[in-house]
Amino acid sequence: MTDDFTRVVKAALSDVERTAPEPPSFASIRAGGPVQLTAKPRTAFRPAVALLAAAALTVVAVGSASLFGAFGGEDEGGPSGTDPTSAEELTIFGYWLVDSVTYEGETVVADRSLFEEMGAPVPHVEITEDRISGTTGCNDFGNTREWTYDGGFLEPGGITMTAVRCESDTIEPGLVAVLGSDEIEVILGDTTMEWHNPSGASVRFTRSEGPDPRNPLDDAAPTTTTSPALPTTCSATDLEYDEIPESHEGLPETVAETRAFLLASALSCDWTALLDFVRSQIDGEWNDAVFLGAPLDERELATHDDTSGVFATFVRVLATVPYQAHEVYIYDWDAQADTVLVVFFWPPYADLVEGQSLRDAWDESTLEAVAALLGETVDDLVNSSDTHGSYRGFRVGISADGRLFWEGDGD
Amino acid sequence: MDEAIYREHKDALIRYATILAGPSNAEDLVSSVVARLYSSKRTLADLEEPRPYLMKSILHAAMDGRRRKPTLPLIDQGIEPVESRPDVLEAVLALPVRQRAAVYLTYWVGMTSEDVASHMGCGAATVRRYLHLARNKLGEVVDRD
Repeated sequence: MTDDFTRVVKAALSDVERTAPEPPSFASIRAGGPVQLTAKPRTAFRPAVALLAAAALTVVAVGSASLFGAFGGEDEGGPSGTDPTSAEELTIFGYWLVDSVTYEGETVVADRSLFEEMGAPVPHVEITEDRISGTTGCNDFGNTREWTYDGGFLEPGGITMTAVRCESDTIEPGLVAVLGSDEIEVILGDTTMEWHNPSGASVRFTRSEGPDPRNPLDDAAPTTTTSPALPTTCSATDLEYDEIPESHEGLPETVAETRAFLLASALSCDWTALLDFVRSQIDGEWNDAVFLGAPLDERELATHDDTSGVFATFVRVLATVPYQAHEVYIYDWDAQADTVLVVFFWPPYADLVEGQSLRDAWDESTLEAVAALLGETVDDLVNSSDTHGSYRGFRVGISADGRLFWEGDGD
Repeated sequence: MDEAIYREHKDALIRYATILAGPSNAEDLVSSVVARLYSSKRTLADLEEPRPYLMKSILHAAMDGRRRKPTLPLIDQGIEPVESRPDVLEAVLALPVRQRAAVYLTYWVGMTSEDVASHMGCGAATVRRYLHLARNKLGEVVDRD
């Protein structure tokens, strides 16, 4: 079957490739070329994608707008890859004022006078060899690890942000979505810079000399170097479990052991155990791990931050939601073929096709359990499922050999 | 020099753009990403690795474009598939753009997960996830016969 699959898929790809037109000539492109696709209006992208991007920003502190200096440290480093200065002395380094943010199909212009009237810092990003930092006008952000800029693509390096409740959030959501991206395409001009993330959100900047002296808050740039306070509680401690919930019936022993370990770690708020376990599962590709539907990286666990209630969610999923075994195909590059891995998913893997909904994949008890977990009605849950075949929520998967398997945004 | 670089990569770029956005959009896609490079006052010669950069840009542009129009040009244009499996062809074209990119670069171009990742601008584990999701969708159609 595997050979057939590869052959048939290759044939289909060949069919598509055969229709490729002649590439445009270099001269025509330099003369202006065909339509600039990127100049056309962007339509809204799905809220789930936006949520995922926003979730990539780890919120680390509440109540202070001046904490981003706390995330500096010995681990920080300068950019790697190519020299951030291009052939014509265009450089990403500098102090950049936010002009506008395009997000979910809408462009919002940053009215700097309004921020100044409110006594708020003007939205900006400052990029130095060691640091990417700035403010949305309400919350401050900064990188937690080395940032890189290579070939026109910026990897911001684990941006963290304060979590002040903002009166106006017109700029912040889009800026957060772009900053939370793993990679940002950068277009530099003489005095302008554009950031585009893969989901279609973008930010436009104008270069500035630096903080506006008329704004007293800008002068009070954060300089604190204290570490963020560790939370004294975690979300799982509020749950009504006196002991580890009984294993579901029918689980292989290896799967049950991993489930019990995960439950025990979460219930006891054992950050180190869970962090080590998660690290051991992802082959060093830490940033690609997806944990309960949200990107998980070292920041959340290593900073002992449970803002998103990850431990409680973990326990609730493994303890209250039905599971189902599912065959997962993993492509083996060495063998140039697929291998099959059996994975137990909480909740069951919903492999929908166009026109189907979660009702076609899950029984009523599963729908009710997941809806209860999300605090939604079953109808809301069903209506929010993705027609392309991916359930857009958290899921825990444990492979038959006891490894943790992640699922996340299906697109 | 730039023209020589472009000539070296243009065929691969147009094929990739065709897979991602269909033949009717491919030319615009390739033109736009190269033109945008020059609008930012850089040149192809400035790029350390032009092909991954341009392919990442094409993927980004295709993801913008997918929201404007569906990418099912082959069926609409009545082009006869080689193996007469229009259902598979349709399933490939119905994949989300990033999954389609991962499938193409892996199964057809034959890249490793690390190479696919560098051409898509993501991590190798993410590539594997895209392949897994795509494999689930395509497998149903392929096995149907």
